[in-house]
Amino acid sequence: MTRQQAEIQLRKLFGFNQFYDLQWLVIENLLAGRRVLFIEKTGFGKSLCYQFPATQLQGVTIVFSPLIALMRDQVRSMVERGIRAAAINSNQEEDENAAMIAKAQNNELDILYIAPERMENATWITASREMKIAMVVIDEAHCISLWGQSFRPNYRRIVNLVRLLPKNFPVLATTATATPRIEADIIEQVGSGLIPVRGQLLRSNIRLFVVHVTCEDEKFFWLAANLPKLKKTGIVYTGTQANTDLFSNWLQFLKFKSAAYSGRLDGEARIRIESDFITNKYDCVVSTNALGMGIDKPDIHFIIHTQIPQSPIHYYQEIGRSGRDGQEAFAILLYNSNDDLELPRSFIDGSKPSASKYEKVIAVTKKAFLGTNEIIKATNLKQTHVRVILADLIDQKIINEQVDGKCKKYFFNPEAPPLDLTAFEILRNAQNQELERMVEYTRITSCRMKYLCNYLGDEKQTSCGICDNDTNQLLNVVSSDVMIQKLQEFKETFFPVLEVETHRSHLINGVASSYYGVTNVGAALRHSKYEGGGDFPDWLLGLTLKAFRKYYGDPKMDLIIYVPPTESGDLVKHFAEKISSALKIPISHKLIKISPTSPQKMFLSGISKKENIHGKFTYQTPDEIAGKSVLLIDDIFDSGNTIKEIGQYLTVMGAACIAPLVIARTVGGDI
Amino acid sequence: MNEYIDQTYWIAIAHLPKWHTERINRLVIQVVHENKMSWANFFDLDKKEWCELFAFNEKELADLEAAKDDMPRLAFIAEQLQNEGFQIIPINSPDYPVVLKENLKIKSAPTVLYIKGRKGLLQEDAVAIVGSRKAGNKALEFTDQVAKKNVKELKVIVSGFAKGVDKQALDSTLESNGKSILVLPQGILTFQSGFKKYYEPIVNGNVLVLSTFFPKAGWDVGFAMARNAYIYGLAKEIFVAESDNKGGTWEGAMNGLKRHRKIYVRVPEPKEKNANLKLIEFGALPVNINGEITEFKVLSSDELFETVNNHEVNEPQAPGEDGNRNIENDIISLLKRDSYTSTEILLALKLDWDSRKLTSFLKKHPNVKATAGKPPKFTINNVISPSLFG
Repeated sequence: MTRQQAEIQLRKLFGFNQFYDLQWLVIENLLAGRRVLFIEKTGFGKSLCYQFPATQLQGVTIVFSPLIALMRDQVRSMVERGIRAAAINSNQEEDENAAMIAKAQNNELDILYIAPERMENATWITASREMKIAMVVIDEAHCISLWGQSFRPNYRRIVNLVRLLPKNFPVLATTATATPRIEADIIEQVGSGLIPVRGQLLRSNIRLFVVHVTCEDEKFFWLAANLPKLKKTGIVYTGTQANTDLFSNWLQFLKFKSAAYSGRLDGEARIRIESDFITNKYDCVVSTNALGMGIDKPDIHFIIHTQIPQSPIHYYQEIGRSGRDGQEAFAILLYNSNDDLELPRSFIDGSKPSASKYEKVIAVTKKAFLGTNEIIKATNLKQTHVRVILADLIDQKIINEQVDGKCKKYFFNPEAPPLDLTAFEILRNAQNQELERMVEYTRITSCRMKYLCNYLGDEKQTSCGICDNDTNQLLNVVSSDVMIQKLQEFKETFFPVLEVETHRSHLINGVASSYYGVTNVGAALRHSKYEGGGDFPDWLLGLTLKAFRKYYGDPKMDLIIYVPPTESGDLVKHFAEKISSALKIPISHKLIKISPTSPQKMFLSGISKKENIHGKFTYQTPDEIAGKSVLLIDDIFDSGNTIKEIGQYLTVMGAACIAPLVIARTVGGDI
Repeated sequence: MNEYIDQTYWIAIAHLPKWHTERINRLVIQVVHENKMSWANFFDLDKKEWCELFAFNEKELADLEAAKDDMPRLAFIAEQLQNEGFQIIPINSPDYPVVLKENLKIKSAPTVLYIKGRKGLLQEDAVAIVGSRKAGNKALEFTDQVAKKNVKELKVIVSGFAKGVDKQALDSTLESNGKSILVLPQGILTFQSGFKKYYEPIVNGNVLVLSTFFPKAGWDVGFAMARNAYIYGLAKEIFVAESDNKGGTWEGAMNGLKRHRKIYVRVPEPKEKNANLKLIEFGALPVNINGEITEFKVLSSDELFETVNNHEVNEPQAPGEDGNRNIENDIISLLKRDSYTSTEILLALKLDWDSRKLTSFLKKHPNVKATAGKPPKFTINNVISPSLFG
């Protein structure tokens, strides 16, 4: 097919008059049965490079993409043009997915989008064998590379598949962010037949700024002062889940329309916030980096980072979500050189668990054929650690995944090589170097966009002319007494919500008087619990009562029940008694443990924590509970499993409503 | 394998529909050895080039075209195998067991082996213990003894993962911490329960699971028969615990005898109902319950038929004068006792005839009739008719 012929088809099918030269270069190679790695900025029109060939090739083109929202939009617009496109993903009902698979098998589709994790799905694997596949596309291909730090284990299987496909089979890998090193890594993994095509990475409408602050409070001040000046809407990125809560509440306190978004939310809440964000219902969304990748929103006008990202590539990726409509967009990094490196450094250090944890998992998998949860239980390691370890052991060919019925289990390789720790050391060094380059970005006095593009291997880039350094518009923080007072007021009245509501119990969301580490509440708890400091001090009681009033107002409560202790003696009992007399709600001492439990903090995973307490609570005279509204009191809320277990139990006993009230919520939490 | 992608091609080649193993192996030789071609290059050729280089017929061409189209689908299977830690060992790999090639030759050595386990086991000295699924206690005791004895001699025990003798062979081997190869009657991806059950010995490197069939194929009686040849093929020595006069064990043993392989057969107890003695008659070596060669008195074919000959005293004898005469006699005598396939007759009478020659001789013989079945068995026709040579 000549370019001329192709462009006639292009007009007919997509309504465009011609291809960009770079697009045609990619398409020409694909139509000739070759493999291409296409590195080009967001918004360039990379997707046309596979959508068009998909309509021309015999059979179905499979597009692996982690961006569910993006696939939805692309499918819709193609279907509108009469192109036979569909998607299967976890947001759709299973029978809808099954119908799409059947269509693909019957040769009724030109293009099928699927999420990379489908490669782990036995049904899909079986179904895909019955399809006539014309081409494979790997979207966000930087996830293939171990160097990208955005490596996704389920991409490994896509790479395997591509390597096993016949030589003359067209494959397209696309990404907007790949350093030369990542590019080399992708080519090494996918195979030398992969032809790299690199476009220009400059985003000419994104204005880059760095604001140097000297303490965390100044970030709050800067946001308060500058958010009104920015064109809506945008994203404020934070480093932790707790900080999404804190910053979002601060903005709400200042009467901005804002929402907190992180992995902590359930699926329903996430979808609601995403869709409200897309329809511009918020001034901004405060989020961990969980938000953005799956969002197809061209009119994001600002991206503010309250925490320095781990590397320039992360930063380029995250700010790249703004200004896709070509309008001016701002990317602003608030950076405190004194404290802000602690988080990414601990993340890098903690990204690989210790060698002994690897050995623990190896020992367990040698003994029996187990699934992830069984391994978590058998090793008592954190879920997140076990997942990292399993992915690494697979990568080092020490274990293999093996499907057992519908479960995925892990089979120890009888010919396993010894665990190679040097690989982790090399990775850690590389990550530290990348963090250094990110710090360097905050310090440079030359064009910031040029710096990022150069880092990403686009050497030809000239200055952007619109960043703070190029325009000499340096931003700084101005704090006023009014602002300082406001922040103080906010901190004293901000009470973290405990999201424990489910359909299955009468538990409602609860409240804590503070985050454990954010104020001096944590220190006070520690002093009483572990340093023999006696009862919790009265100011904690005051703060907790304040949290109760602010969150619950003046509800009708029938009964106070407290969580029976494991090791802190009667501290919680005494505390609950004081609350009882302050609120004039009767207290009951009848919730007890059937058998002793270990302290929850001994267990590192949610699964083990759940198991530790499951079925362990009983109420001595259950008839008393029926129809009652219960205030449930504890000192520290971590994973929330204890509260949920008791809530479930009291629901079964007939409680009408269970309202949790705790002194502090931990920042981390396991799940 | 040099190239990762070759795994997909090997799967395609190994399971070309209705191609005999020998035909596939000859293609492998042509492509890989004679033309020094990679499979990628081979599948890059068009129809015309295929014809010119390899002189394929129409059916073969169509099959290869279909395989080409099927390649993306096979890539998914190859990916699953690879991901789950299964290995594909093609016939030209240094990992392919030499003994299997020597025993089965180009005619029936499987083109591709799918394995899970420590592949070093494939290169170690192995013995096969075979026998019926419904073997009696004596047979199981024999299996146990022989397995343990060979484990002591550091030999690998090959068995077929069926009930009865196979199961006993595996259990006794594992009990004594020995090594075992399991030859599956199914595709390797359908062996889930087995992988669970024998997880530890596989991980420790004591058990290797092997299949020659399409990875996704379920159990099939045809596969169960076919894999017997591979069990016999993987072993240097073969011990038969109990054999019927038909079925997998029998066929395998007869086939082995034909190839002049050493086959040890347990001497049965007087009242046992099996065909062990028959195998011994056909040249298998008699062994006692411990697997040791025993002084069991086997009737030589001469003695065996002497008694029979006695009934035919009226037949005119012209010793040394007419060889055919004696052979015909011997055959008739043998067939009076039971029905046999031509291969069995050749073995029993130690004839140096070609089996086709014998078959056509038998078919023409008025006193011999063929029974239905494959291969056909022959027996005496009760209608007395004058001798051909009379």
